[in-house]
Amino acid sequence: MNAAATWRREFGPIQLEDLVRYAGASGDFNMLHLDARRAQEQGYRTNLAHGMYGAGLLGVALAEHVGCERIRRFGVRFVAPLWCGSSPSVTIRVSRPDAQGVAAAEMELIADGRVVTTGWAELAPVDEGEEL
Amino acid sequence: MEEFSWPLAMRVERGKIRELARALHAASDDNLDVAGDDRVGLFASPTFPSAVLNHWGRPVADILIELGCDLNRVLHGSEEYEYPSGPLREGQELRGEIRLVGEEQKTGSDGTPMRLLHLEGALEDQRGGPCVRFRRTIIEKG
Repeated sequence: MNAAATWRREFGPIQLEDLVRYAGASGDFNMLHLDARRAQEQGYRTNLAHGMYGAGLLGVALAEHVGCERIRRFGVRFVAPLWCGSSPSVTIRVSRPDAQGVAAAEMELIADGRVVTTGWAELAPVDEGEEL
Repeated sequence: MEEFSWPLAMRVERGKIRELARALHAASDDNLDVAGDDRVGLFASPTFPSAVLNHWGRPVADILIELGCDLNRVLHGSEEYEYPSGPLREGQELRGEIRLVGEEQKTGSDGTPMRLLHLEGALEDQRGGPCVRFRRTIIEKG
């Protein structure tokens, strides 16, 4: 990748309140995300964020960095759980634009020293007068 | 492959945009705004349409049960979005459907059999213009 810039966004800590709020926003009230004891009974270290919560962090970080209006394609792959209480960070690398002005982004959501979600995006050209 | 589809209608609401943004530690609602101009309406964050699905269509868990999944063995593999005309905006009324577009059997690196289900949602605005297409891969292990 012909990377022009790397940007890092720190989040967290991800608290139970955030996951309760996300459960309400998404309508997903699976208690594995909201009840540490219930999650531990099923063999998990503690309660874990919804998978789409991690995807959402990547989306928010990308929107903050490049602007929501430039995101034409966006994808994530779920790699590992994001535990409640962790303080994840998102790293974004944006390529130099091609001849048509389209750029690519590669992203990682990292928590507790490991990659938990990866992402990619295709970005529309920057409006005239703006710089990457 | 047997055909499965479920209708989906969604309104891009300001309250839901903000609720999601706050849950996700967005630095400010202004980050999702159009140059801070509320008259144009807030942008929805990139994962918005599939994040709020449960409120507007058949709940995802019910879809997976209908497809014969054991929810205790289900993992979310990946999620992808296409926005041909830019981000979703507050006030849009979207209509479309979710379809099962593919099913595969694979073997994991540890030898565990896996069933992969590919679901695709496509939504149009009031004028019939395509607004977003999203694709979800679900993995059922064992």
